[in-house]
Amino acid sequence: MPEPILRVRDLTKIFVSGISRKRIVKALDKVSFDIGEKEFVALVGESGSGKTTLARIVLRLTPPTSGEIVYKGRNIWGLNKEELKWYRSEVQGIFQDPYTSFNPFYKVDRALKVAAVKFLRGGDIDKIIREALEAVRLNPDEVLGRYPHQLSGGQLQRISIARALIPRPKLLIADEYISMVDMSTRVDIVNLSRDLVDKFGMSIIMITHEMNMALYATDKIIVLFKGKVVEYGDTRKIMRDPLHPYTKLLIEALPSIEKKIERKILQKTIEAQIKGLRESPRGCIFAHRCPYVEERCYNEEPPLIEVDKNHYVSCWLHK
Amino acid sequence: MDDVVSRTRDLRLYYILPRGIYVKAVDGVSIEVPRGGFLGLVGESGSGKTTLAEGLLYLIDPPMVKIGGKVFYRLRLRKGSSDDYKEIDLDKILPKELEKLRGEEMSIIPQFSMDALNPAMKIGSFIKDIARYHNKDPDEVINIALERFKTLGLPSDLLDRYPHELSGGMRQRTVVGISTILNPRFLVADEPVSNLDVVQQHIVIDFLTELVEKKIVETLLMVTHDLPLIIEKARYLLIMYGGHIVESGSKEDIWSEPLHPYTKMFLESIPPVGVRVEERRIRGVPGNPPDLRFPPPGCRFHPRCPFAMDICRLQEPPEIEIKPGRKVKCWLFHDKFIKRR
Repeated sequence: MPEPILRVRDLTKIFVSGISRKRIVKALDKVSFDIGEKEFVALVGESGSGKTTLARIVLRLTPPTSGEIVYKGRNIWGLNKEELKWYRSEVQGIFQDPYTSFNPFYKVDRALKVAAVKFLRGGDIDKIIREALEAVRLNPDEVLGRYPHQLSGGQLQRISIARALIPRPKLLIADEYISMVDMSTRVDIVNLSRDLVDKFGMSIIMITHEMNMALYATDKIIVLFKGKVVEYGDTRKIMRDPLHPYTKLLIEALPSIEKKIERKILQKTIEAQIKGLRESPRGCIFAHRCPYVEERCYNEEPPLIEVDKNHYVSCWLHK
Repeated sequence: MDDVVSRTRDLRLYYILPRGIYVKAVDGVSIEVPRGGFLGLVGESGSGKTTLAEGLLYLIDPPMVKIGGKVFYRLRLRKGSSDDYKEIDLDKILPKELEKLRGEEMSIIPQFSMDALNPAMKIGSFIKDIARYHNKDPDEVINIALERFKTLGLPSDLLDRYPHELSGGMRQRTVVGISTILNPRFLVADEPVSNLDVVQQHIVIDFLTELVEKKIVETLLMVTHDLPLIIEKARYLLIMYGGHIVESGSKEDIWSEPLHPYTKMFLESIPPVGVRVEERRIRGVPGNPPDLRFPPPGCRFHPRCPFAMDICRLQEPPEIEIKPGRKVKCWLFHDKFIKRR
């Protein structure tokens, strides 16, 4: 098996808030996964699952409390100045709100130029910018010379991607980058990401709450629930045979008009939420919502186990 | 269609910007909102759907102005055992009467839940205030609220809390609950689940569906950009694009045979569950939505439309009634061009 380009091991992030009465929130709890070369990976989770925290740590915007992130064999929190520069050009981020990613007082050209000047030594900057825009299927003449408010959300998000492509990164981390783009053009951004992986040999981590987009286009899915990886593996395997009840819930919640679907797990979860049930402090974080719960789920935390090749789940049902 | 709860005639709602520029958010919309059941007003951001929704309740405040057109609401009058309806022109009633109508007859679940609550008031006091304003018994209304909150999965001590003490998801569900406490006949819900997780989304949609099924709310108009979200529940859809209603009809008709090219391409842009990119590539709608300050002449969709003809670039298409309750605003369905279909 080829060496992964990014290896995340036991990543934990604890936030402490309050002065006298300290409140501790575990945003990430021993998260481990690998990202391979030329892999399109979806990190699926809802708000509060820790997915944005994870993105911020991988982009080196926030330090972890513990755990390790190794990029191409080097621990990203132990890089020297020169290596740091290298890491910053190899790993690029794209963020949720394209309207706040650009300075409204400058034309969009500036963001692209700044990236080109910062990351590239010389070269024809205009040509590089035009190539980057063409790579995201924008017509450079239509967008260059414009201010952010003159462009649509979809166009701006493509420019964000173009900007991220300029340093020729090997890994893109896209945090909810489609959620503010019009519904009717979201799929194009996902298709474009697929092509960047297939044609330019990049790896992309798409952080999203949209399970249908993850199932449609990615190679691998990591399902995060309350800071923990509950399931992780090959997308096609997860599509065919989701193992964790939470993954099943996310898939059964997808709308369907042709056939009526029974939403057993969703119903149970709704009941649990309406009753205000809380997760048990020791066992599985999903136990109180789970229709298949057993005694041990309340007491013992299930480990992440490999059920099948490239398919991991953290659930006692599969032990 | 005579069973209508609300209707507009050539409604134009613009936003005034400096230097004499208008945003033509709703630009000549004539719709009939059928009475009863779960309905959807679907459009993407910037299509004017929120403005139209507010227009239906006559929530027209600067910088939004009504440039032209009419809004009617069909009031129910109880006469003995049978119901009678009287259509009122919302231009012609006093602001005070309008305020009374809102809440008891018609209500809106606003999009931004933080702005909808009074930050200096506990939820309970806020509800009692609403009850008093509408001459209702506060305790009775509180009881209704408690029941609604329970169905929405909100904690029982909610009444003693201030809005800032609630999480975003709780606050949004609280606003959903409060918007329904006076049992409005006509409820407009503007993106009521946009910031909620999957489970909470289903809780709110089930809650609203139940109000409709129990006839507590007669007509629910859900305003959303997320068509898949309501596709299972809605019975009737209005599709909005660029300040116009481009198509309307029963959900079954629109789903099985969308007529307007925009509707068709929009439906095709959503990957169905089970389809993989390498087997079948789903395409989005090419191009960009119109800038409603300077909308294109003719049909607003023509720059993105693969079927655009000369007339589409010059003249706004008329609304063509295909059958009762089913309309499309597209030249392709005009008698002159119908053979080209």
